[in-house]
Amino acid sequence: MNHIPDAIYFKDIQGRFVFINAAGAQGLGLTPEEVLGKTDLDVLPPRLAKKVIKDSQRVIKSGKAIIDRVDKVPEHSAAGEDFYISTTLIPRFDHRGKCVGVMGMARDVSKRMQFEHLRDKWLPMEKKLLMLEEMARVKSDFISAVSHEIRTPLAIIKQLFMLIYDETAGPINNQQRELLVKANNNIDRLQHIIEELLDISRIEGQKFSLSYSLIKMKDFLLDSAPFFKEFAAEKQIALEYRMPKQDVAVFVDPERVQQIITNLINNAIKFTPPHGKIVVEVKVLKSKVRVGVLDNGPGIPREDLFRIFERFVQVSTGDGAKRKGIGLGLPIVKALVEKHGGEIWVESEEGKGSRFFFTLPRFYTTNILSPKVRTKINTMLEKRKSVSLVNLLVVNFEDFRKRLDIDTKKLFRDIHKIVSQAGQDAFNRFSAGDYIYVTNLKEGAVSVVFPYAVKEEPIFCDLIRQRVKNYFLKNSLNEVFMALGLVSYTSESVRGEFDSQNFHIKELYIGSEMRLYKRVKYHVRVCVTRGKGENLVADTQDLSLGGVCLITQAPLATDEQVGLVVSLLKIRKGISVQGRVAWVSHVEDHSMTKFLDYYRIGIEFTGLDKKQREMLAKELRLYYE
Amino acid sequence: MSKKVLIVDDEQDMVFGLRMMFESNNFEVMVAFDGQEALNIARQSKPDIMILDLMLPKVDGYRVCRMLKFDEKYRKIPIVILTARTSAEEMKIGMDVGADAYIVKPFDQQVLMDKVKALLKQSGSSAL
Repeated sequence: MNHIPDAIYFKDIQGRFVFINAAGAQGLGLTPEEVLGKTDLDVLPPRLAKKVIKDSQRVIKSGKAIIDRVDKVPEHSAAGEDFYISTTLIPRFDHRGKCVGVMGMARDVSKRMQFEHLRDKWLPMEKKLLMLEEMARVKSDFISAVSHEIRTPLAIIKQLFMLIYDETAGPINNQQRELLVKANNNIDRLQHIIEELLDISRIEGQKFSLSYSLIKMKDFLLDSAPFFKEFAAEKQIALEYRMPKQDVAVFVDPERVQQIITNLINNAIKFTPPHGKIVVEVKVLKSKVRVGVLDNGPGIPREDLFRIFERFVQVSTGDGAKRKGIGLGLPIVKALVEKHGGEIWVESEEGKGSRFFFTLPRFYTTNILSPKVRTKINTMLEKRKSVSLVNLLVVNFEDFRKRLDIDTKKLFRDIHKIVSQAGQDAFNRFSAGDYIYVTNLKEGAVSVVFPYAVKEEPIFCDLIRQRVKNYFLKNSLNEVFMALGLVSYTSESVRGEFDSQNFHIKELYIGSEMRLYKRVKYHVRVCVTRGKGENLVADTQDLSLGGVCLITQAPLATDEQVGLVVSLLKIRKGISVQGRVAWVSHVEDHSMTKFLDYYRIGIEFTGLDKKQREMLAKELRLYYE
Repeated sequence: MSKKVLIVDDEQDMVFGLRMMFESNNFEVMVAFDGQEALNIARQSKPDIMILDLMLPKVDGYRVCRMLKFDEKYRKIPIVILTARTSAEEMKIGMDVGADAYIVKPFDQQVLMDKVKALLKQSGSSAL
């Protein structure tokens, strides 16, 4: 009892202390021996003593205990801080049931009371916050739910309207025609506004999700190029596409990416005067693909530049182009880009045109299903009820192969072993004859097709994942980032030859899914040297062999070449490297009471020499888990 | 001989407009305002083409389409789904139940008529 921080004591019927523990005595400023035999009046200040005696007497007379009663002790309150004591008094009885005294416990609960006070303040705020979140969700869902109701009367108006306008209901005179044209323009305008509202509320709603597939960026963009070129030509604007030599794969929602690019190109066409020029450029970065839409129009005034992605902001067009929407185009595009995990930003100066950039995550693998695998799947589907496909893809296989110490054939043989063992462990009835195993050594893919669906499949995938990871670790592959991602494809993206209900696909990626180099969180000050000898100081957010992410107060220009001096903290060396600005992201931080705007800037290292690379790799390894 | 079109939509004004449009293109027009009526008329009068809305009382558009398309006697009737629902999944379901075309409201009259004519041509009837 002497080790308990609470005061514990026993008193007899006369109120004399028969026992008190160390803490209790300490609280009175005495030793336990000094307290024994004394009463409250001897050891406590008078007012307090009277209170305590009253409590004890009450407990003794009634036989009822006082449990955890909290009292504020004013005499002991320091300025600004309240002192609270919790009192527990329990009557003690002898074997005949006669009361022989009390046992008391006293505890300092000031901290507890402080916490309870804070919590009382916080609970209503939390409730409000939850309510707001719920309202936002409900609003979004509400708008989506009524979208059908909104569209229907609009469609009817348009329909009936057209019947008058195209003279199905009889001839119309010129005056009537003119009125109808104006009315129709406004119907279109209304339609456009409603579509934008519905779209953004859908994107922000609970149920929104992207439907991913793997697309080749160059092909994808060039597909719609003729249409845009024609559209631009109507205004005598030249539209040029600047593409990288090789095509690059991205893992995105094609419909939404089309929406993004359409919006940006349409804007460029809208805001560029006749005989102007627009360039759509695609740049392949180390872990992203960056698309730029550049024009030589009037540019965006500085004060509008930061607001341009905000809702309901409409920038004046200069040449009086009619406003169609309500300023939701760019916010929608921004929401979509960010849902993909990309960044979007703009660089512009009045009189010097505008450059809109956005990035999308890059994917290092090629087409998913080879013809060999497809035929096998079709054969199985003809015989069985349902089929599952687990596809293991070694991402960035070319690069991966160079770093491996193992012969590729052996690698796939080993993986085969791992997969079949995992199969036996996951499925009770899995046997060699049940599954079809196809390897595509050229592209680094291993496919397993088996005739069971769903239930055990996640276990199967997990086992494969774990064991393949261990296998790679055992074979000490240090620099390669091992992220076994798991992605599920709906069979539509396989170009539906298969009966959608019976076919399940799971993909496992070995290697870097979206990043070529593993990034670690890294915080250090760096000095950035720009072209004209300007220096600026920035903080790093993360670091990898490929580059660094900086936090700065002012933006850097896209593709700008900079020099960086980075101190590597653990190995205690500094390196001075060259880099190029890959992407820029403007962040508004309105948390708490601060109103901070800052920039996150992705810089790719260009020309690291062998020694620097080694130092960087050494430093990074110390941060890997 | 003029072609018969069965227009199915629970919005009366919509039906009114579509009727006018088809009649001015020399179609004979039949209408239904709910799914059950649509099935009855389709089975009795075998139209040359159907314009089908999805949100219908009694039996919804998907089921009407599916039931006709899965029936040997009526599956040859081309069905154009005309609806305000736009999501990709819904479009896919439309295709899955066997619709021959899926057009979103608000629609362009010309686009609809062109599609109708193309489908009639396909199903062996001569276009107008």
